[in-house]
Amino acid sequence: MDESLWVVALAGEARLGVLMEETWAILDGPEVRPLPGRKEWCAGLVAFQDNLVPVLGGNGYSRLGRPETLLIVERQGALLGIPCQEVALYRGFLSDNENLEAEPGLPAAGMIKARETQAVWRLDLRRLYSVLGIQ
Amino acid sequence: MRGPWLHLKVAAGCDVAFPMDAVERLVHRASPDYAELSPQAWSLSAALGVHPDARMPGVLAILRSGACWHAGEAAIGKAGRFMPVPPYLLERQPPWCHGILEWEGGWAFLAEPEALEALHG
Repeated sequence: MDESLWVVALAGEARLGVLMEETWAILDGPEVRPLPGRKEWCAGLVAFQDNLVPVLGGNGYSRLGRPETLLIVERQGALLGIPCQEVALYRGFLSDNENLEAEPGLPAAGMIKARETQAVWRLDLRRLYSVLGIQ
Repeated sequence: MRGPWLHLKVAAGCDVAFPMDAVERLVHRASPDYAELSPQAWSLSAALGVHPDARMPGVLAILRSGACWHAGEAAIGKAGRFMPVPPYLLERQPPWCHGILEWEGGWAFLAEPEALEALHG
């Protein structure tokens, strides 16, 4: 099985991983601005490189807290910021493809196995975007 | 993206911009017409659910649709960086805002006038 490079971060109680190619940026201390009339899951917006990035963190995701660090992920051109902590890079491989839920509202697709890591769930962006109504 | 737009101060960190071709008239609080028109006006801050700017009500913006909005103060903007707001981020459809203009270091929400009127209703 091929090893991949994963961006791994703590979101709520779970350690989540996304592939390096699914990651746009990692921002420290971003300014999150409110958007009147936004969806409940959206804490607000961050401007980044001529894009507005919605930040996960309203109702249903308030446990993620204020984003000291923001992991910006991308799927089919749509960006999403996930508040997180303890960001790291690992080489590892996906051990299985079970559909799980790492944290309420944060679907996982299997676990990432690496030599030196704790349990890391692969964040399922397809299901997360579907739950949020993005795609 | 180029304007011009009418920028209206609504709340701290919240300006709303209307395309100038949607605007009929702007009435300042000191204008003789203000007292007559003010009772028909709707509050932009109430429609958007934000805490009103301390300067409200300072002006009335009357749109060509007939809508009349209270706002804190007004300015005209001619240029700014435009960033689109995807419709899926907004609870009510059609979306009241389709993008953000960077304006004097702050943000202005570029409004869809008719969708904004529906928020009030």
